Amino acid sequence: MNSYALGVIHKQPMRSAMTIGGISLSILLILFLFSIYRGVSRGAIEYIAGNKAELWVLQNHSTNILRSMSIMPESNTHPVRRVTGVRQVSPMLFLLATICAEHDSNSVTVYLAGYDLSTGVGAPSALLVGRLPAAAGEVVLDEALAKRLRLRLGERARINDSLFRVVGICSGANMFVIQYAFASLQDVQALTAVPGLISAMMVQTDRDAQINSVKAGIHAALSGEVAVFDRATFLENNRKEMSTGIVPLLYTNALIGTVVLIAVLTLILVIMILERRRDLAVMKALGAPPGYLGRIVFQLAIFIVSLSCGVALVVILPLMAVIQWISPEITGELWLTDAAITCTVALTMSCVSAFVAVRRLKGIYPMEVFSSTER
Amino acid sequence: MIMEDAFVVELAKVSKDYVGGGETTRVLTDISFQASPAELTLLLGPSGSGKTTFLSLVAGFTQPTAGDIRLFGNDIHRYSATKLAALRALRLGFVFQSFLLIDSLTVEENIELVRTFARFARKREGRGRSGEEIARGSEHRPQVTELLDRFGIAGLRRRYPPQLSQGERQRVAIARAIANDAQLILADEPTASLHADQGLEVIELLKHLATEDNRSVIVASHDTRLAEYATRTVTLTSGRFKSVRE
Ligand SMILES: Nc1ncnc2c1ncn2[C@@H]1O[C@H](COP(=O)(O)OP(=O)(O)OP(=O)(O)O)[C@@H](O)[C@H]1O
Ligand SMILES: [Mg+2]
Repeated sequence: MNSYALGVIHKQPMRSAMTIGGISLSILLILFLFSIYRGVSRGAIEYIAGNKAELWVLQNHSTNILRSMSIMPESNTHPVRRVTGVRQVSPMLFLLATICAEHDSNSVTVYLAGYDLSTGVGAPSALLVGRLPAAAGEVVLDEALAKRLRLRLGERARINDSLFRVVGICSGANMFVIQYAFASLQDVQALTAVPGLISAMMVQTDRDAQINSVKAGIHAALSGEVAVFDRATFLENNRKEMSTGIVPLLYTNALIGTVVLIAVLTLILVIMILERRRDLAVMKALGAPPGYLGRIVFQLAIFIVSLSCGVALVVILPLMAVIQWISPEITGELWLTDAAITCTVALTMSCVSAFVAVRRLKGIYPMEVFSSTER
Repeated sequence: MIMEDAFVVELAKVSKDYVGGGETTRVLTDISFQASPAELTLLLGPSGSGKTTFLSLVAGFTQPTAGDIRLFGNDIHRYSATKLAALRALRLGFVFQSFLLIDSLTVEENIELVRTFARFARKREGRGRSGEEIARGSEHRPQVTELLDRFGIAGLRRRYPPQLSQGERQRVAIARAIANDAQLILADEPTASLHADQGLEVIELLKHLATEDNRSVIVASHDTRLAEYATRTVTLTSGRFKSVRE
């Protein structure tokens, strides 16, 4: 690196630190959003991914369980059980309910999943402590939810108006804005005003059954009134639903971060050029080759942004740990490719800033050396 | 290609107007002038007489309104900004009233900067020359240590200009002016920021650069006491040469 450019950085340590701090913050913001996006995308479908069902049966036109409504009578399970190739049908009811600790009025909304305890399909796949619900009045909470509510194993939670004992705590049931809790189907049905409702049926097939013919059979059995998805399609539907909610947010923030980076850096470079006008005029007078001054500006820009990327990368992991400690529902996941893309874009933007700032050099004339006076 | 000529600088009927604020001011009128190696030319004149303008024209910082300027036999009127920069980097040295050292570079780096520019210029010129010629060109470039020793500032090489006295700064500036082995040194009021005795020391150094190193030195000043060091003195009054004393 050019020793003059290096001098600009280390002769004004306070300003350099503030510049690097500001730019690393905008890089940090983008890295943080990326990692939240990755964490949330995984968290939102982890439950479905861990589920043993081969086919999901929902109300017609429902495609996922994250953002669509599905209600049907539990009696729908009977014709499905009779379809050739169907081994087992497990009904399930999802309900948005309010939950709080027994002696604490601070409540949050929970995504309550009532499943068939006899088949066990629909149970949380990653139990951390305790056991699965085995009887009425028992509930398993997602880890982040338990932390939010400060509920421990054996304590009681109030869901709507009923009391449940926390018998287990699981992971992989955190959708960032909302978490799952698991109880028996009957308990969850009892929380609704209308008896005998379910949201979905999870179907397991015989070993030699053709998935497509089972699908068609279920359709026919319920006179085409339902939507049937195989595992992979259903997973993808939920993933897509998740992304459409968060990706625009991610892009908007990435754009803002990029604009802030360019603006801050361009401003700093232009100020540098104006402040160092005398030095730059002297260099022109002494015969600096074309592009020499421009290279100084480019080196400065790239150096500042490289250092900022380094700072952001060093800070991001501890920062995420702290945030997760404060808000357990926020789970981040930093991908190497995301970090590489962010840093590459930041470095490209540093060149854009330098390119804008360099045009200021044209207005500096070697003649100015004669009008300079002692500072 | 730079052609060799007996005169380092040659001005023929040069006039210079400044245009600004809707009016044109004639600063230099019909100036003819030559300078040869081993000469220290003192350009005397009151404030506003056009001394700095004269040096700017010679350095190629600004173009004459009329007349021709030749440096080392070449008409610089036809030179591009890049070619002019290369010419300055290779053959011109500058000494200013306010020194104009770069404060964020050490003494050594300030001097090295000029040599870097010369290296770039030589590379650029070298496209049309043989390797041998390029090598010969770099041969008599003085080493930084030699230069610092010569001006008695070897101990200051790692210091920054703000850590130096005025006199020391001007000596660094003079060392910088010849770091590229310049054959033409342009000095604008080199003694004006200095105490009388320091000023005399500086003009003596400049005289040595002319007489002992065979360079051409042009010093613009309003200090008539410098005349005794000059090989000739030219007086500018209202943009015209009034008297020439050899
Ligand atoms: N860029 C410019 N535009 C317009 N007029 C200028 C410009 N530069 C110099 N002048 C004018 O030209 C005249 C000569 O200026 P110059 O700086 O050459 O004088 P000088 O002899 O060096 O004076 P000093 O001893 O004060 O340095 C002055 O009247 C000045 O006001
Ligand atoms: Mg002047």
